[in-house]
Amino acid sequence: EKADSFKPTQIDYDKLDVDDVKQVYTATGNVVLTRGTLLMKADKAVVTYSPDGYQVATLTGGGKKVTFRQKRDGEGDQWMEGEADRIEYDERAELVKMFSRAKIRRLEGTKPSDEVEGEFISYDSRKEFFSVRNTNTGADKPGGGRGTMVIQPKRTEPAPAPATPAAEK
Amino acid sequence: QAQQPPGKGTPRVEDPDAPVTIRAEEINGRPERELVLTRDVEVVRDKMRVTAESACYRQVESELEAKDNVRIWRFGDYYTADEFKINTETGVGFMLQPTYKLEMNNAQGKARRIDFLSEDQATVIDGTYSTCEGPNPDWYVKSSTLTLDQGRDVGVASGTVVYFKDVPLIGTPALSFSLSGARRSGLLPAVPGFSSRGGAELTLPYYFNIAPNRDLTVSPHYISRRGLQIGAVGRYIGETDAGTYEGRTAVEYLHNDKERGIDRWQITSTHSQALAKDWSFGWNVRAASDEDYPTDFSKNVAGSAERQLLKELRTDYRGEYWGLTARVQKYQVLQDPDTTTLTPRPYDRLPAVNFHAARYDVGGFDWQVNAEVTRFHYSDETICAGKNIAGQTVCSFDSKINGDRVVVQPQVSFPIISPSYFITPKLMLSATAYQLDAFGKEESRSVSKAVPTFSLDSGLEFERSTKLFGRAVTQTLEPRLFYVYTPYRDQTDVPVFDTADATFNFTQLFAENRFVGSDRIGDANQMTAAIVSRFLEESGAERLRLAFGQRFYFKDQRVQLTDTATAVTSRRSDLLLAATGRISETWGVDSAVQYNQGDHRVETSNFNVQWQPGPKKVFNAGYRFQRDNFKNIDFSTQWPISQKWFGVGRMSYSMKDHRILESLVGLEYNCDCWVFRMGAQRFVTTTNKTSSQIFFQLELNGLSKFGIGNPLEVLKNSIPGYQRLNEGYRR
Amino acid sequence: CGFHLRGSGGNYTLPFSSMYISLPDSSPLAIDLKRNIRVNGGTTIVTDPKRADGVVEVITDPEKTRSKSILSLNSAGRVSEYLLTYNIVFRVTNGTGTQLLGPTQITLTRPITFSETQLLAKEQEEAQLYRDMQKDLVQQMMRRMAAIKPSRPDAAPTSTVSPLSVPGIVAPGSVAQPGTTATPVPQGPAEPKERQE
Repeated sequence: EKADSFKPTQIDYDKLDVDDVKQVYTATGNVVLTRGTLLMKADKAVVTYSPDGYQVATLTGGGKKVTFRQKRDGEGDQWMEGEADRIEYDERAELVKMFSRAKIRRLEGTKPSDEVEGEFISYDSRKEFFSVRNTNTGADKPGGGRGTMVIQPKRTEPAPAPATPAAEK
Repeated sequence: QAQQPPGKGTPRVEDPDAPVTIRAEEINGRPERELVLTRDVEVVRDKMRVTAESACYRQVESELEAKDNVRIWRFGDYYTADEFKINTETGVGFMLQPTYKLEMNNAQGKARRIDFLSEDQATVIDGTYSTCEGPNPDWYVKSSTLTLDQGRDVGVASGTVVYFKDVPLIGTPALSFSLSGARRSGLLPAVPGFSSRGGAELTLPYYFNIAPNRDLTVSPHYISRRGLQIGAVGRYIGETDAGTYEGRTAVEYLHNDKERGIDRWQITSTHSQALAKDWSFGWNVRAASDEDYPTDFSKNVAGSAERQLLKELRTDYRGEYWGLTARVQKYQVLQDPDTTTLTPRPYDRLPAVNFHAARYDVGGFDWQVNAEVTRFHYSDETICAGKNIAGQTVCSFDSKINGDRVVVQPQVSFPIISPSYFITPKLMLSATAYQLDAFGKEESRSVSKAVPTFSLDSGLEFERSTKLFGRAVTQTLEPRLFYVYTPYRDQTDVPVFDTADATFNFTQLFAENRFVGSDRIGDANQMTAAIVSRFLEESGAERLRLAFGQRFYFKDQRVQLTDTATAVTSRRSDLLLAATGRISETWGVDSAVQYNQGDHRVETSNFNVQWQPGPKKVFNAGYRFQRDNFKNIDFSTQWPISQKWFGVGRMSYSMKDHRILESLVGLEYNCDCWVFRMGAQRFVTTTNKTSSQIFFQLELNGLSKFGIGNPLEVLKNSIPGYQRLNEGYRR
Repeated sequence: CGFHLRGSGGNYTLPFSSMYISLPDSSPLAIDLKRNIRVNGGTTIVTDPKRADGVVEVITDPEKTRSKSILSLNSAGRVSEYLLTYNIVFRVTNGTGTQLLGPTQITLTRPITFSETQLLAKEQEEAQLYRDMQKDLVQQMMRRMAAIKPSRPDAAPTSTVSPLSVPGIVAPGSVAQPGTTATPVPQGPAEPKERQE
């Protein structure tokens, strides 16, 4: 959601190692990154600060999927959810890059309407623009396999009553 | 229920709730708005699948646009195109430089553009249509616009030229054909022709598909030596709440025949209609303008071989236990100017009312009553046939006695039936009463007869398992004895309206009366003995049936048709033998012999063999003999000569008159999407006249037929077991 | 020579305790078939197909498609023999619709000599021959149905078509009542889609 741009980014974690010289923070153990409605969970997160103070976080699942979830503008209770082996989040560009077996789902309430899958997905939450590549480095290699997207038909009847978002820790 | 001709094709419905699945090497875009897909793109939605090098999908408008090397599978049809745009909700869109291959009749073609108007409808612009496989089809229709409506099986092409091996056949402005072979209104291909009696001919039929259950074919038919004849065939079938109705009426009218200076016409009409649940009404009318009509205008054997044209109006009521039929019948008899023998005129029945009632197993008894009231009318006329050697036309004044007749035939039987035997005693009475008009010297008088009959039918049923040509079968042995006693009643004072000697065959062997019709009840004290042996497969199918039968007379047979004929004194009838069945997958046999032991000679015999070793391969050979009547041999075949060429032929030869009665020879060339038939047929129309027809026809499968005559009908009627080469196509 | 009286082997009784015939009650073929089924013993006729163990479904009604075609001509080009054809395609299913005997065709033919002097008599002889074919057809159907094994449904149907039978065309002006002429389904340049077996 647009409003997230003005919210601070907060990261919770079990353990934190800080390398002040290179300004690199490494948080490990059920790491949770929140920024307004944006919520990301991972096993490990490496956060570096750019000179102008913006964070660039790289979350890895360490075998488990890293997940992210964010509310979308527009009527009804629309959410974006995604998961991948590794997610890089650039705070200033508000760009989420998801690497290898990445998935994004758009939901109305709890009902998925669109779903995108691919080796690499980048999602610009400010312009709500995403793109899918077929290599897990983000480069586009011809013949390198394909991403998939499933679009559910548009519902003409009123959107179901918005279910209260499950309170997620 | 009425046999409704088929409605339109199965309608094509897209599932509105189907998801759209997209695959591509690179997907960019905004959810819910535009998606740009590049390389190895595949979009699937319900019954449509599109692959292309690049595509873009606008979700809000649900519009898909694909470019370069686009392939589309849709409802079983397959297209390729350079560019393709479609709205996945409405099915509206277009294709540039497409090729298409339809599921129906696997028709295919290419075009400059195809516009999709809905799921079912598409317009092919400057395209071709053909049902041939492969890139360069043997034939194709090239047309400026070609609307294909798979939902209603319609294909209307305008600005059309049909190319066969790249040679333009005809350029008709509009040619309607059907994608699935169902009926279309439209111009049928012109039919040029030549016949020995009319000279060069040209027919240009137009077919009106008025409604799914009603159609009309009007065919102006120009005959060089006679003038313009108009032919019209109307057909209808339908259902009212009372039940079904159906009919067919064919009319041919030629104004002022150049050769004869009179109007020539023929009408053939049948109609049957249910007035209520078990009550129907109908007519069956055939009439012609003059005696020579059949010889001059008949196009087929049946048309020229029948000269007694029936006009009948009838109504039937059929309950479960009884039925009533009332009919009015009048005959128009066409004399044959080429012979001196007069064609006999049957009695008109104005009217004939039949009543039939039967109840089975009423306390073990089956009883049945048949009754009939008929007014027999015979108009006195001088009839003339051909000229004799002295050049005078042979004429004679022809008149017969008229009269009314009432017949009542009750019968009761007590069948004792069990799987292994049956015994059926039966008592019958035939009571007839006549009211005869004055005729010649005799004044009007009435006469009545009542003749009882007792019959006892009995039979046993034996079985055993055995082998027939190496296959396990159950062979039955069914001996049967049938005794009939009918006392002699003098019937010489009774006229003969509708009675004749019944043909002596297995059916007649077990009938009580040796005459057919109610004017004569044959006196009888006779015993019929017969044995039938059937070879039954495990499925119960009858492979072969052998039968022997003979009747033994214990008394002379004194009742004859004419009062001058003397009694028959022989004590034994002819011996009847028969063998019939499909003894193996490839061989069929049907033969019967009637042997006169007294004079040691065969009275009638026929032997027919059918050999069908494989599809579209059949050979029939037949010998049919009846003493003093005919002695014909008959061959017919459909045989592949090469992989694509098929020969067809028939020859019916009268050994008694050393004359070929009917001959047909033809060739068929079968390509994967077209069939070419050509050949000639000749049949006898009168004692010294024959009619010969040539036919050739190019049938483009799924489109229509071009050529002379209707060879398909001719082949089907002349060759038992004939199979159409393009069986797969429903045209 | 191994012959024994039939029925003692018990293979003649029908394997159905109740049957339904999908033909109008007034059809002579239905009357004859029902009579033979009753006489056969052990099988009752019901009027509701759902309650029947065996449903005889007549696909081609022989009374509507009986046909008469010219078999041979004489030297004056007149008809000397007609061929009468009586053809049925039927199948047997159980009450719930599973097929016990696939579509089976039985075609019988009888030649009938013809002479113009006996036209009216020949009309009655024709009716006699059709009745005889109908009796013969009922016997063959009874044998087929007796051979059905409900436990092993859809035994491959073996059709027996008389070698003489020519695809039925009705000679114009044939004497058969209009009700029984071949059903004139309007046929333009194309036959209707469905083709009988």
